Amino acid sequence: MNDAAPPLLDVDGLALSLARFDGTARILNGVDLVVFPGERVALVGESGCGKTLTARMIMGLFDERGASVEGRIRFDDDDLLALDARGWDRLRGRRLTMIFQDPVAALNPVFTIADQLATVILRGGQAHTRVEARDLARPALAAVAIADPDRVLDSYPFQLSGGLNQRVLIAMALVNRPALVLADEPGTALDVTVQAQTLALMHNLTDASGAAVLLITHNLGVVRNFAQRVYVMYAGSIVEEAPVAELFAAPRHPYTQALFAAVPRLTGEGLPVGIEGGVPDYRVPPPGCRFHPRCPHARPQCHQPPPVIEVAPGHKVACVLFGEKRDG
Amino acid sequence: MAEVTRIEAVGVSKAYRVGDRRVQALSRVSLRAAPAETLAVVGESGSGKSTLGRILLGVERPDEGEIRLDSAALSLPLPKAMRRRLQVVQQNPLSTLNPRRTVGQSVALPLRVHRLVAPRQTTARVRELLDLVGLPTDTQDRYPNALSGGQRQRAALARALAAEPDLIVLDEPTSALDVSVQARVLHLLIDLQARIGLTYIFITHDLSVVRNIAARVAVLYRGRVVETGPTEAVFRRPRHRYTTMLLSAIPVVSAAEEAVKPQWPQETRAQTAEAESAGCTFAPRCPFALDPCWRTPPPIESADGRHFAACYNPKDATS
Ligand SMILES: Nc1ncnc2c1ncn2[C@@H]1O[C@H](COP(=O)(O)OP(=O)(O)OP(=O)(O)O)[C@@H](O)[C@H]1O
Ligand SMILES: Nc1ncnc2c1ncn2[C@@H]1O[C@H](COP(=O)(O)OP(=O)(O)OP(=O)(O)O)[C@@H](O)[C@H]1O
Ligand code: SF4
Ligand SMILES: [Mg+2]
Ligand SMILES: [Mg+2]
Repeated sequence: MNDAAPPLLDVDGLALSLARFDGTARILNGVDLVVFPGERVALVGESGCGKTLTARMIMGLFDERGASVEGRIRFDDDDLLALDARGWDRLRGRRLTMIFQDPVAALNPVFTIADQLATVILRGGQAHTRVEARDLARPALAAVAIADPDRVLDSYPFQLSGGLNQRVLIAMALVNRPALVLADEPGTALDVTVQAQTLALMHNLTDASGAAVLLITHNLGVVRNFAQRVYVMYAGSIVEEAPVAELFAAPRHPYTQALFAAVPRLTGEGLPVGIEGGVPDYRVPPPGCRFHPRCPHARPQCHQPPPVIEVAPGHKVACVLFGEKRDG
Repeated sequence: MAEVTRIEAVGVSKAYRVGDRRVQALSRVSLRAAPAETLAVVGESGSGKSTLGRILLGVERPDEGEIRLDSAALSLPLPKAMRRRLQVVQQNPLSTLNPRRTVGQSVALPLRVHRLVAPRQTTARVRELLDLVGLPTDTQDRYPNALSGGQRQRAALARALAAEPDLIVLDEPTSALDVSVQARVLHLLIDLQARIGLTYIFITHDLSVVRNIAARVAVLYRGRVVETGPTEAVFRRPRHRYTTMLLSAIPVVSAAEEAVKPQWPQETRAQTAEAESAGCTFAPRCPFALDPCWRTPPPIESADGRHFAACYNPKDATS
């Protein structure tokens, strides 16, 4: 990673409002996020805070009626919010790929793995016939530590375990040598040992190919093992960003602190208490800092949009507590 | 030790037929849990945890072995009075809550089936139960779809509690929930256990949760209990090599936790075409396997009568 180089992905003030029959929901409320070439970045936050929506916006996979979008998403030299079909054809599945949350839903049950992987490889333009594609598919599966690629290629998804399907999806996401992979909770469906292996593989493969990864998860332990930098999202905005070691050593935003405090520890200190309340109703979100109704430090100023303060190099917090003159 | 046992599995085996293949889901599994105790059951996907749960509940018949509740063997199909004593809460509460019934109707059902209250007291009792699990009273008129994940899980728990059970099998009750909601549901479970003396069989992949709520833990691998004992002993001094591998893979958030995890040689090779072992089922993946490991299943043994493991080359023999 080279901070002097321009970011590969630059999400700037991304906002998304959805008009629903029961009112307009402003879900994404100004998301700022960058990923540098070859960097491993994590996006964490509670269920319903907008992680998947952000990823779908980046992939150009959110085009619901009644959606109104503000802000900018730049990838390389392309403005993704203004990209036409030909532009997407050039990027999606090639320079920009995604691993979806549920491997069962992401793979088509009626085609063999060989068929599905060949389609992806042909799109990438590295092969021109299905036979050639199969020749490329074998090493792609071997690279994700699949010992017998031919058996897997001839299988249907339901004939493979969850762990194997997950590896197939990783192979698909990496085979065209993308510049950026969006991985939405890869391994949620897996047990800890398979999950650990899957992440180790993604780590090694992206290191080798120079691909950047934006990992979406609500497992903080996974973030610590995998990412270099972290964005913490709450109710549609980024509340804190920091290098991994720094965030885990000293989370600063009250929401991040509460999130960490809710994680049961292997050292066995007893069960933590959870954060009271839940993600707000996006039709009537709290004004200012959206966390204030649940925040133990909330004060009247929190009803205004919080300032974003850089508390240490690369460590930013969107909270009024850090905008005040701190004496002691 | 003359400990009281609420539920006990004795030599339970179960096989399924899938096409022309036979899947041995459980092989001679024995374990027990005391009144008001939480026994965690952990192990990889497909190791037989849910199958064991269903057999403990008496909804499925073992091929061999038996389940004893307060020392009396269960006879299947379970009589109604027995069914009442054994309840379940699953990962997906929608599988136990009928989507076409309001929460109130679902919770009232066991009250009526088992005649636990006079009909005119049903509504009051439903309110009491919803209150017990921390759901607002107006939840009783809502359908499961209109509740959040955590609320649904509480509703499923209220329904299980309505039957006034002695034991609840919790099959991944919080794995669909966020850490903050999870913490609240788990606290509720612990509270109830202390108040009513419930026994929990807690099936989960989340070992950090196990460490904090279970008194004892049983580790399954390919349908066998490979290790069982007090949670603290198993986590601090795992003996079976599979347990070591499992514990070493837990993602944690601090260096202090990293320090209490055992080490394991990193394994990134896939094991798709795996050798068969006539002995320990873990031998094909075990870097510590010795000759006997491939030949004869290791007996489950204990030095202290509490912490048992079935391993020919247990961890503290070498490190
Ligand atoms: N197509 C849609 N139409 C309307 N609302 C939506 C749509 N997709 C998502 N939402 C809402 O937007 C919010 C954010 O959803 P999103 O899926 O991004 O959450 P998430 O952070 O990925 O959560 P999880 O961890 O549970 O996957 C939620 O309140 C969700 O209900
Ligand atoms: N009704 C069934 N018919 C056929 N095979 C079954 C059936 N139920 C379970 N199995 C098989 O028995 C084995 C044990 O399954 P079980 O569901 O008990 O595992 P588990 O430990 O609960 O896994 P998970 O963590 O994925 O829930 C698996 O190989 C599974 O495929
Ligand atoms: S801005 Fe206010 S409410 Fe928001 S996290 Fe900071 S102190 Fe809490
Ligand atoms: Mg999501
Ligand atoms: Mg199961």
